[in-house]
Amino acid sequence: MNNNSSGRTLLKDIMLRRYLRLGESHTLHEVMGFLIDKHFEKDGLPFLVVIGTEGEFVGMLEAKAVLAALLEGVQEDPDAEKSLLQSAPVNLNKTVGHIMNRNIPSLPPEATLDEAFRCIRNSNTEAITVIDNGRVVGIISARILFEQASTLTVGALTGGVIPPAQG
Amino acid sequence: MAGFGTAGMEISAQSFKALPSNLIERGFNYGKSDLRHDAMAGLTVAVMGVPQAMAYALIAGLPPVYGLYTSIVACIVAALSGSSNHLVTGPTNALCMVILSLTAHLPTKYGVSLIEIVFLLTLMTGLIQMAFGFLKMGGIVRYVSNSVVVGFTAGAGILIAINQLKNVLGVKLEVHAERFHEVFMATIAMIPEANLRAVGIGVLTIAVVIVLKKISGKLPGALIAVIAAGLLSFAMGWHNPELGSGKVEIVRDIQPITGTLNRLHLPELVAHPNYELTRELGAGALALALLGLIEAASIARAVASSSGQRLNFTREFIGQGAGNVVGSFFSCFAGSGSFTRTAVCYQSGGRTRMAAVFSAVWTALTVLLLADLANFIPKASLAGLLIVIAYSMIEKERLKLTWRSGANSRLVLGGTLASTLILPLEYAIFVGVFLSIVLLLRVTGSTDLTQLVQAPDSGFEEIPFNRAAPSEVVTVNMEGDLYFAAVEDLDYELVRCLTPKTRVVVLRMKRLRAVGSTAMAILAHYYELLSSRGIYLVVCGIEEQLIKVMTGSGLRQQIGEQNIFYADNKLFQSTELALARAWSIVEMERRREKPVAEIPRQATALPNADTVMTRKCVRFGNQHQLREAVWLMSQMYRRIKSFTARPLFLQDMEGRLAGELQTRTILSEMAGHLPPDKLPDDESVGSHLAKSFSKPISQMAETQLPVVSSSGNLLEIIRTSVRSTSCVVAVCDEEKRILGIIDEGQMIRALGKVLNLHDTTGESQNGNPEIEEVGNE
Repeated sequence: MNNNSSGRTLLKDIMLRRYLRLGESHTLHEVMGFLIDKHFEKDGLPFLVVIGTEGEFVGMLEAKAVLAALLEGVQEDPDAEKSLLQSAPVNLNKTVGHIMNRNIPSLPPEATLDEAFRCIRNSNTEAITVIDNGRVVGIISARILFEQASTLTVGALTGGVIPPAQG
Repeated sequence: MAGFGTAGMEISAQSFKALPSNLIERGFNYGKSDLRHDAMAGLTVAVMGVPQAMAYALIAGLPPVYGLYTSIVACIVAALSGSSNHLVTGPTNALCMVILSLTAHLPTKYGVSLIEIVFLLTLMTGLIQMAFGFLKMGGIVRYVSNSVVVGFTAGAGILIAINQLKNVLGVKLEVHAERFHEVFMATIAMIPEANLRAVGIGVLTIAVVIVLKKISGKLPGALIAVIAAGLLSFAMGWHNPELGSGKVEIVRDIQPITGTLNRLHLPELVAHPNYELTRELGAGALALALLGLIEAASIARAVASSSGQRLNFTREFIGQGAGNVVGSFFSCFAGSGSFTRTAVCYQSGGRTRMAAVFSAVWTALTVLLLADLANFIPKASLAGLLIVIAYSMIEKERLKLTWRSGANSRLVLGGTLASTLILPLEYAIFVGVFLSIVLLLRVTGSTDLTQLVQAPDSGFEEIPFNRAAPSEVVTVNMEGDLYFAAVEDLDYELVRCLTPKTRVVVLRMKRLRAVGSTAMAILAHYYELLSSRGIYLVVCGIEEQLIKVMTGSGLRQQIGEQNIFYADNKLFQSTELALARAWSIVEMERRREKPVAEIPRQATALPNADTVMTRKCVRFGNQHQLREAVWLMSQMYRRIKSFTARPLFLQDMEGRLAGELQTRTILSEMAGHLPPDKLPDDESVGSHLAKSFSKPISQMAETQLPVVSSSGNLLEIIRTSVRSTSCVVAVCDEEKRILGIIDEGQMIRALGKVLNLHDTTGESQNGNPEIEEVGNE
């Protein structure tokens, strides 16, 4: 699993390089243009990394934030549908910069797995960004970390065979 | 010659570290059976190699004993420090010919003995080879094409044969060995003065070797032939000095083999350097180093392709260099991997590098015990043996094959062969390499353009450039080399694919090589040409090397990060993303023309949960332990492609939804046992992570779940999702049995449909909308 001889997996070996980059000034209307594309239907929503004008990392746009922003000001039933359509022009014109999450933890590409586990445990996000010289070079998602954890534990200890329950 | 390692200028610390650890590892695994096989293979190699080594020394113009010395020390050092398990290093015919060509004229010029000059040359050669190794320049042998090697070997074979004719004739010549025509003419002129006894000995040797080879390939023909020749000469007394010019010269007459082994000897030219001589040997040492490495690498690779050993060419280079450097202090001349001895070593069952070491030990025993007998081997016999070997160096089949491989191969082959016969040998190699590179540039000096069109099944179809139907998005695939010679007019060429309809150009640059600054300037100009027409540029398949060049040239900033998609391992992955980006640009433009408020929105009924949800999801009993949940979840992820981490739903004995286990919760639980300090390796991380494995999952599952009924509408679903931390919402019936799940992507797409944001062009709407999930009760 690890790609170097020291027996340590580094984040750069496992990070996800496939994610979308957005600018802070993109509107939700534009973002929705991306997200409803059928290309993302197969693999699910991509991670949305927000970068500044110099290409530097600023934050991440989470799907929940997009959904929450589009429902802002929408009344409860029975007029919900009408209200949704009425609020749409205002909500769709909101910019990424207003609704994104700026508190995304980050680690360098040379960081090790245990650092990533500690980092995700202490944060409240689905992903850690891997930053090199201020730029995002990859993403470590909870899924990637889980896959590493399962390989290092059930995979390594039992060869992948489910072990008998104890106690 | 491709694939000989990576070219790079980084000094490899690993190369240093690799040596002792590998040796120690092998030491532990070396068994009795290995020892027996290696000792026997070593003996077979020595039986064949001893006469060969003595004869090769003769090619280099040196006393035969130095060939034996080279077969001992250089062989042991190279075997132990190299990478191949079967490569037998020692004197080789082509290298010896180059040594002769480089050094023969120097003793008179500088007043230093020939052998001391050869020791210096050997040291320099070894140092250059080690430098190639430590600088990880294994890839350098790639620049020497097969045609060069075939041409050079054939040329060297011709030179060796023509140079040995004088020894078979028993005459002496004072001409430059590498000047084919001079040697040829001088030899012809000396035929009337031939020593018929020497001719007899030479012809006998040739005949015995050829006949024995015909009878059985396994017989040590060379050894039998030289022994037979030696016995004949001894029995007839032809070695007797009293015969005067009619006597047959034997090994003792050149320099007697004294029955002593190599001793540590500081080369005189190292103790008292002669800078002028060292400088003169420089280019020759480089050529010798290169030739030695090419020989060793191609021979090692040929054997490895049979043995299945994975070679490390960087280490092989260091091994070859070390063999020559150490050898130069033990009276060895420059050696390399011998094709015949290596093949014999492998075929006679050599298992490890100890076989080569054994061959050296047997050779050493020969020197110690049989020196007196070896002294009586006639020089003409060794020359006869060399003529047979030289003939086999002219590989007729490979020559034919190379000749038929096209005009370029013919030119390189012919050029190298001719220059071998005309120029000093070291230059012949450079001529060959130069010809190969020039012709390579001619072939590769172009960038191929094609267009990619997305097929209905979401695959890509490659069609000739400028033949695609007009579309808002034009995808161009660039392949080949993009350096200065190839990029002329490329920007204007690329403009040709634009139509009035074009809004975005996607450039796929995945299979582009050698991107230089000229290419960047051309691309920057293309970007300007597009911008002036209001067309966007999206690039994809960008590899690491290209990122660096694009960053340095400022093009990366110009194009904008959101329009750059980096190469991934999956074919066309970045192209798919780039196309999605391109179509969304088209879509954005369309919307920009039509403000958000003006998009018609009809009051359509909001979709219900049962029309949006996916029915399949993974459910699991809530009475299990964490380790089982981790295993099940890892199995689930093998089959689900989503980027986000899906949770595991827990149900009680009655099948009612009892909770949800989120990936983050599992990670937090497992990571809770990690110590605050950095752990030394992955294994210890794994053992800490597994500490919480016996914890019941019911204790960590989220039980207050976001749940909607199958009749709940989209707004209810989204509100439920926004209030929770989970990335999916479970859809349940009245008895709380789970019916399906809805993830955030599905919510966003459904909302997009309600808001009428969907792309209606149809161009980017390919692929199966079903998300594959695992159904596991």
